[in-house]
Amino acid sequence: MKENIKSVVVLTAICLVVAVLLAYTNSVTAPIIEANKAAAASGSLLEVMPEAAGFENITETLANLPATVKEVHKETSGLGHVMILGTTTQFSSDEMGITVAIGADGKISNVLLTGYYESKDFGADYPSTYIGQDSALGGVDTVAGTTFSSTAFKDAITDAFNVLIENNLVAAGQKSEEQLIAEVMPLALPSSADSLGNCQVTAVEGVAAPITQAFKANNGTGYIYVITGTNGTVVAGVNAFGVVKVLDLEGNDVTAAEADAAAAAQSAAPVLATENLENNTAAAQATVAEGAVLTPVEGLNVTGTAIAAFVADVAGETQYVVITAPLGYSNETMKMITVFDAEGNVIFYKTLTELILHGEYYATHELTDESAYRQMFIGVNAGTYSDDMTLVAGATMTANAVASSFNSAFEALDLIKEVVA
Amino acid sequence: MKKLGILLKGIIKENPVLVLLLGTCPALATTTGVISALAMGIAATAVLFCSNIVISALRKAIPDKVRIPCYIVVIAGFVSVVQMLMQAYFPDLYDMLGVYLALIVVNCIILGRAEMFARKNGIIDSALDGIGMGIGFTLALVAMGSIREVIGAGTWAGIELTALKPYAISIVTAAPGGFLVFGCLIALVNKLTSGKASKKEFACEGCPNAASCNKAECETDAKEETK
Repeated sequence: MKENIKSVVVLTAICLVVAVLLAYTNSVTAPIIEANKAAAASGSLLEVMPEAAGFENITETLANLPATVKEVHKETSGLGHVMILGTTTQFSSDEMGITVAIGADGKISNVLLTGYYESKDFGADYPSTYIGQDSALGGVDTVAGTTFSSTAFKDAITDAFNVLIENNLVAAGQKSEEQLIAEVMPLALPSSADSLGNCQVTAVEGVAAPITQAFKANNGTGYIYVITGTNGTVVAGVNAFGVVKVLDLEGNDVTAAEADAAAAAQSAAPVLATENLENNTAAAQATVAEGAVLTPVEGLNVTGTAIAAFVADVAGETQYVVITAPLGYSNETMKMITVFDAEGNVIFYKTLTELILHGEYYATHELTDESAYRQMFIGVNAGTYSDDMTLVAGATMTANAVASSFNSAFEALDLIKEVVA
Repeated sequence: MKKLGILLKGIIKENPVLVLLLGTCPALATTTGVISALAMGIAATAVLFCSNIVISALRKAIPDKVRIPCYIVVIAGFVSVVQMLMQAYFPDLYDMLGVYLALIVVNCIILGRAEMFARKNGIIDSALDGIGMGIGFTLALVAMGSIREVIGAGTWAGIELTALKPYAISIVTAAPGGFLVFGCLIALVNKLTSGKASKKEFACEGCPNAASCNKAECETDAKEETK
């Protein structure tokens, strides 16, 4: 018994002494360990802001952060902010890592690319072109050949600025008129914009006042004009059916207020649906039953990629034909034709240009050729159609174009019925 | 002279890794490079030195029944201290050693020396034994680390050996290479000592659990094996 008590006492005493020793060591080393951890965490931050005294992570205090903004660190002496960004391009699912330092003056003082997984590089110098830029990002552009990666990079930096501006941490930079016009153009003629929201247009020479610039959509869905309006510069979009929409540089619809600008745009723009009527009619005629009578529909206020529309009288039965021209892989125009019955169900669908699909798709869906892919859409209508139906792994751009085509066709169908009624 | 013998016996004659075959786990795991091997050796030496002193000082106070738990508490205490100090002042080494630093607590060498030596000898002798065994452990690890890093990576302590780099055999830094080098070093030490390393350490006296098992039976088995 005595020996047992002694055992307990000795073991307890040793435990207590060891506990005291550990407590003392911990009290000495804990602050140093914490400082080491903080230094390691701020290592990447110091790389972009070496003169920083310290950092405070304010990520949690900021509301509505976009997915691209991972962390926001405030420099403790007021030099600015360092933000850790992560974004994905539409090609790779791996995140592109960016660490950007934005000074208290609202300008980028340094930027570092910490992760890049695309096969095509946009150049080691590209990130450094952002140094000195304010939120307007007036002096930078995307890189041809790596449009997706450089656009993703630019968008992530824009997100970073927006977070700081919305939280009143820096003042917004002043955008140039040229930048504002470039931002409004896709709103004026959405059908000309690619999947990244950039207008795919070609400048038209020989414009006359009040028009200062003119562009034709590469996919033939209309024209865009920059016009000196009554209240300043406006951007007018004229669709393939000759319908005009005028926007001011803030993106507001001012078609009624800027009637002169609208008229100038309308008179300058050829009505593409009429101009290409012969070709479009021939294409449409080939898709409906022999002997069908086609009547072109005019003045459709479409925002999608529809470039021609017809009402077909097939032995007394009404059908509707819509030709669309979405942008596909490498922004190539993909003309597509859809025929609807009187109830709005798809009864025929084909691409007038080659449909580029991936072999993997056929394996997954037990399809043997593209006709089987097209066949899937027969019978669908606006209520049963879903963009998921068009998905093709490995051929995203083409599948997106098909989806855009169907959405535009359904939009046009509704407008045709209104016009016909 | 006797004290010098205590200090030196751990280096070759009773080298804990290459003769007593204790501490094999950290010896294989942390010898992919010289730096990590040296760091592990120094950390283990510090714990061995301190725990031997404390256990020797308390040898008369600690009841026989609870001596193993007492040793473990003392050793774990010192390991935690070393761990905290290393994390604070040598964070890179701390990260390099990883979990093996904490596993010094269950390193057979430390518990073995506490049981075999410290509990039977005075403080000075135990301290010398701790240092000697620690140096032996460190030298064995550094030797293994050097061979594995030079042959396996073409570097030594991170310094690139330009002539060897193109001929690096990476499997040597992997687990199979560790066993291979370990075996070769044991063979070398056997050769150097002509197989005269202290045999008694392999029998009951060399076993940390000798006191709690059936010693007589154990010794009989050991003698039969020796024959």
